[in-house]
Amino acid sequence: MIKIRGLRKYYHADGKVIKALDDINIEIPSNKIFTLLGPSGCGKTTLLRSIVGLETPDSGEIEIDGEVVFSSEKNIYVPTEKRGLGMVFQTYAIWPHMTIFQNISYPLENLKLKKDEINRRVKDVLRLVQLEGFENRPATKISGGQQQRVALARALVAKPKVILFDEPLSNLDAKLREETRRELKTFLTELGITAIYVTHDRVEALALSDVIAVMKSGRVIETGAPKEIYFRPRSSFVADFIGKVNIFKGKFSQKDGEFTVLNTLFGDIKGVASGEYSNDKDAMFFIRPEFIKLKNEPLKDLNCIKGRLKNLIFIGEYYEAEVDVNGNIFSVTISPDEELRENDEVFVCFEPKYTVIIDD
Amino acid sequence: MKKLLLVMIFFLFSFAVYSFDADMAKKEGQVNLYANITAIEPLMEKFTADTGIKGIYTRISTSKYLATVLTEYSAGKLQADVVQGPMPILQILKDKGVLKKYDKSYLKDYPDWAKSDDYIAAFGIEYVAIIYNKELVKGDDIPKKYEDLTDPKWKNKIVMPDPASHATTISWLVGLKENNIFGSNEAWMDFLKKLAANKPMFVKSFSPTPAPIESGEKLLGISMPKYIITKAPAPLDWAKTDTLLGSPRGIALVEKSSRPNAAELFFKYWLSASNMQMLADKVGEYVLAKGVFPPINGIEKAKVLPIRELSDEEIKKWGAEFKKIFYN
Amino acid sequence: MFRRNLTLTLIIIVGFLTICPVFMLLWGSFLKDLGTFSGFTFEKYILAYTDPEFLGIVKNTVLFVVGSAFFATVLAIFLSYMNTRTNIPFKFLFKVISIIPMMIPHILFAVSWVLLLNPSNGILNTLLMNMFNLSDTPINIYSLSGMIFVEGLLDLPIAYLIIAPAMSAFDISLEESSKVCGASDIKTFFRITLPVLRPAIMASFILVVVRSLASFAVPSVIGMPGRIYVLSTHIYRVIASGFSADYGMAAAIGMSALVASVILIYIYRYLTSETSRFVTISSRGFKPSVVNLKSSKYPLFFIVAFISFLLIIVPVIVLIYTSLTPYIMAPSMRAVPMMSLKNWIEVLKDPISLLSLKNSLFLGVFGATIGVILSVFVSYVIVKVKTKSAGLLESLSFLSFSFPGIVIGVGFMWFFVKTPLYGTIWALLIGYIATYLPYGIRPLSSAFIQIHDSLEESSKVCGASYFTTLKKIIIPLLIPGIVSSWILMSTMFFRELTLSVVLSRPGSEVLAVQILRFSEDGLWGRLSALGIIMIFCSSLIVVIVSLIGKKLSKAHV
Repeated sequence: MIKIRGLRKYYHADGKVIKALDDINIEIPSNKIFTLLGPSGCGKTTLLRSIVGLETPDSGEIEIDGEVVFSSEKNIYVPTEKRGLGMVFQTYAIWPHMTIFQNISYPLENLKLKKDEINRRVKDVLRLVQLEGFENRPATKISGGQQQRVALARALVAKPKVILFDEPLSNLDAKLREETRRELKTFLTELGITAIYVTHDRVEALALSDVIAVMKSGRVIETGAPKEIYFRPRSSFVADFIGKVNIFKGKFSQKDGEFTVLNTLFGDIKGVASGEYSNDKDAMFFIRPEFIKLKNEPLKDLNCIKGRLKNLIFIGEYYEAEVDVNGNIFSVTISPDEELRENDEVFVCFEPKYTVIIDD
Repeated sequence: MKKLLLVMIFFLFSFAVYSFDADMAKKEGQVNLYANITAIEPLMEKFTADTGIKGIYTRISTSKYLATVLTEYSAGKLQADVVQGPMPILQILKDKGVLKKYDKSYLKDYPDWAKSDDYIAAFGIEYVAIIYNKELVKGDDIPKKYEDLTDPKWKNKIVMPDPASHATTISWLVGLKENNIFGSNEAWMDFLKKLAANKPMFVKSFSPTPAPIESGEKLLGISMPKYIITKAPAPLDWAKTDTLLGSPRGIALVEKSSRPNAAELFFKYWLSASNMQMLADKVGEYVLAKGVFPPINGIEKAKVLPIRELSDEEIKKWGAEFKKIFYN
Repeated sequence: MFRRNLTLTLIIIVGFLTICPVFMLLWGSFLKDLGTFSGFTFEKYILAYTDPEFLGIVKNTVLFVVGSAFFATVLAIFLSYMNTRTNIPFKFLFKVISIIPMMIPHILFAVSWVLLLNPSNGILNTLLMNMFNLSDTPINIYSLSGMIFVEGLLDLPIAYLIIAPAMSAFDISLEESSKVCGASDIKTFFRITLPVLRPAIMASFILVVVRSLASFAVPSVIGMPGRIYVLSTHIYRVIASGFSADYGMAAAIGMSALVASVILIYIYRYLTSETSRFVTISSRGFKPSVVNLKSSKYPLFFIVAFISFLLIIVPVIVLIYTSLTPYIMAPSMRAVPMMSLKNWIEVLKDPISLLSLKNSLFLGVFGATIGVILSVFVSYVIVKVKTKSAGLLESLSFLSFSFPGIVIGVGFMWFFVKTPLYGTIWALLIGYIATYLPYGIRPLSSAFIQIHDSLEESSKVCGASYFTTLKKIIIPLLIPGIVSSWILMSTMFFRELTLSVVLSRPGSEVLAVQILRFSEDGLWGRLSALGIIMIFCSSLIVVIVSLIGKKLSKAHV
């Protein structure tokens, strides 16, 4: 378990203050894959580097498995090399002057292990990352994917408490990235190791993580399991960042059992509210395209809005399309077996349970 | 052999009379000479061989001489027992109390002016002359007097030390005036102006002057006759002007020397006729010991005079003056 | 925490080494009487800077240093590009060309060029005259351009040893992407390669500027006969006119060189402050690819061969020739029967020459090793720590380097005389390291800039301490830079003159001082013989160290 309390780090540049970390308070559960997700410049890498000790925050506290490794108040700073962590860098940082074996055995040498113990463990980890037989290759004579695995092996070989990833897949091509992502997920789950993973790629975050923390401008906006974040985001920023979404404004009008009714320019929309309800308060609802069904007539118990089909594009698995409702555009997806044409009149229908209402 | 015997007898005699103890000198073991005079290694070796006292030669160039000696002196680390240098420098050292009086009887065979100072003995003159390349300048072209340098045929063919900054050269040019070599101040000034009109090449001091003459880059220059000896067999010779001028070279004992006996022994040895002969023979120096001349053709017939020592203010003033004349 | 301590320790060490002599000089420049170190005055500054000639001297100096730096840097870029990035034949030539002038005593090199290009009977001049039937000699070495030419050649090794390692560690993908964008090799070179190499090029330029500011050999041997005075000869003139040389005044004039250098260093830091923009080594692309010169291969080789002929062969031949002749004579058949090995025998029999060889070898090998160790730490802090105090450290390291040589030597003397080291070889060792620290730091900084931070950070994450990281990761990656630094320092120490001439005493004589003595005595033959011995020993050391360096970096790649 990693506990982070009140972490702050400000940079001063050209007379402006940039808040890289602005009062971060999170707990990272043990033996889970924890992802820091956010656009570039949101502070996720600074947070990762603070945990590993490559950056010193201005204030706050970091505790790893009960041991305080940084505390501005108690004046504690455990240097990186004493924190016993593993890390995979974005550039992999494979030392070009060493062989694969030398790269991987390096952390073990620093633990002053015996030679045969080192040999055995390097062999084990090489088998784990499927690089057996590569021991004596120079580090510069392997492919990008292999480098990534060497970096992973090096991070794992000393059996660290936590392994950290700084956008490790961003240098791989799309196909390899997808494969590696899957492998990594299985691999980390089997190992049952605590992993902190930094990425700006939402698909990567959703696919890999047990828990995601979405960051913006140095703050953690929301934390939750991938599905929670996806289905029940508590802010429009997260909703928008994590996937394609239709967002429209309205006002709270009434409660209807488990649902809340929102007064919008499309009439009343029923949905699940995640904020405090109060009458006439400004709010908004959103619905992801994949939950929208196009019908010829309105259905009962569903939110249905009449509009005209536009910009039908076939992209393989489905159609992407837009529905124009008096100038307001809904993005929708249509199954390829539907027989619809542009300019058809359709009803945009979606279930209240997939309709999220937030009050921000 | 005969010479050596003479020296030995001279020594035996002198030990009885003078104030230092030869045994003590031996015990002190060595003596350190700070000198700006060059190429005296053979003399030091000879001294060591003759006396059994190690003679150390610390060579310090004129421009760093005072700075070095005074710095060491004020830090109590002056390693010199005997100092040799140009008279003005030794005068300053005398004023600072660095030097010790010497026994004038060591200079029996020297002219009176050489021993006029109680602290500094003059033993030679850094004589300056017109030096030419004897393979390239022949017959009637060979200058006979200083004025011959002003002949326009030597335009761009002359080398000399920078008359605006080089202290010894400035003193020498002033010496030409003060010794009335040209008969009048106007004639002297005329000489300077015509020399300047011949566009001599300036180098930083005397030591780089012979190289362009021997290589034929320049044909003649204001330089030193001693190079005829030290640079043999280079085709150098001197223009046989009747009067040569130069700054006196001095030597003195150091007051706080930790090896006073060895120092005194060395001092005396240095001034001895045999040592002076060696200085003349090996280094081509003009020395003041009576009857001793460097083996340079015709030098014994020349009148070699010491020039007046200029103060630093005078040197700066004249340097500026010469700059106006020579740099235009 | 560690970084702060390291920075502080280094500031103390380097500060002590460099501030002490400079402080003594600063103090001296305000004193009335240097003999007793007493009396306070501004007079020397007023006198020095109200001199109506001073403006002209500043103009000459600026032209001289900028010209030399430009010439040396452009030539170094050309040679290092040819050597590291193209398939030009006989590559080993480049290394030799670029290093040889480093080992030739500057006085000798300047005199060789005077023999070749003087307007009266310079050998090349006469040759050109006869070839083209000219009525007058075409080239006059005694000019500002002559000074720039010779000084530029002398400073070429500094520029080359800084630029070549950077060039060879270049991330090839930057160039490849330019070619993909449709740019030719030449356009890529000017638009991509040069801008990315800016830190190394700037470093070389500034180092040469600072070095030629302090240079004395070329201004005195070539400038003074041409009546062209620059700062260092102006200072000499101040010292030489008068027997009680006014080093206070000299120091006062030297302060302007010091200020100029410090400003240059700050400008340099400012221009390259975003070092991450220039990071070029990463895990990938460690090996730069080779540009195929195709049809221009041999013409270019001819140019290089010609430069090398001018640079090494001609001066060395002149040296060998003068070492065999009894005095300096224009080469002709007449000289042949007079040639002998007499000068060589004299030198090899001379105990002081042999002692000075031994001392110089010690200083060159041991001194450079200590110097490089210090430089590794200092350049690490300068490049990777990037705090204000790192900037301070960098400026400190340049302090005594940027002072004109004749003056700084006296500063060191004033300082060392207060320590028990005075008059020993250790004073020389410390003085050398303090003064020539930038020679160690520059190539190493350029090398450090190119090592991506993550290579070092990942080592820390792997549990390695700072020293382990330094030993196992940084140093091995730095080997090309270390070799350059070592060679620069070692060859410099081997031929150092300006400090030595003030600090060496009987027993601690060094080669350059002995060579100076020969030159003062006009013994050009012995001087050349000793000079050749010096070049030979220096080359041998350089070859050995380059081979070791090559082996070490091969072992890893």
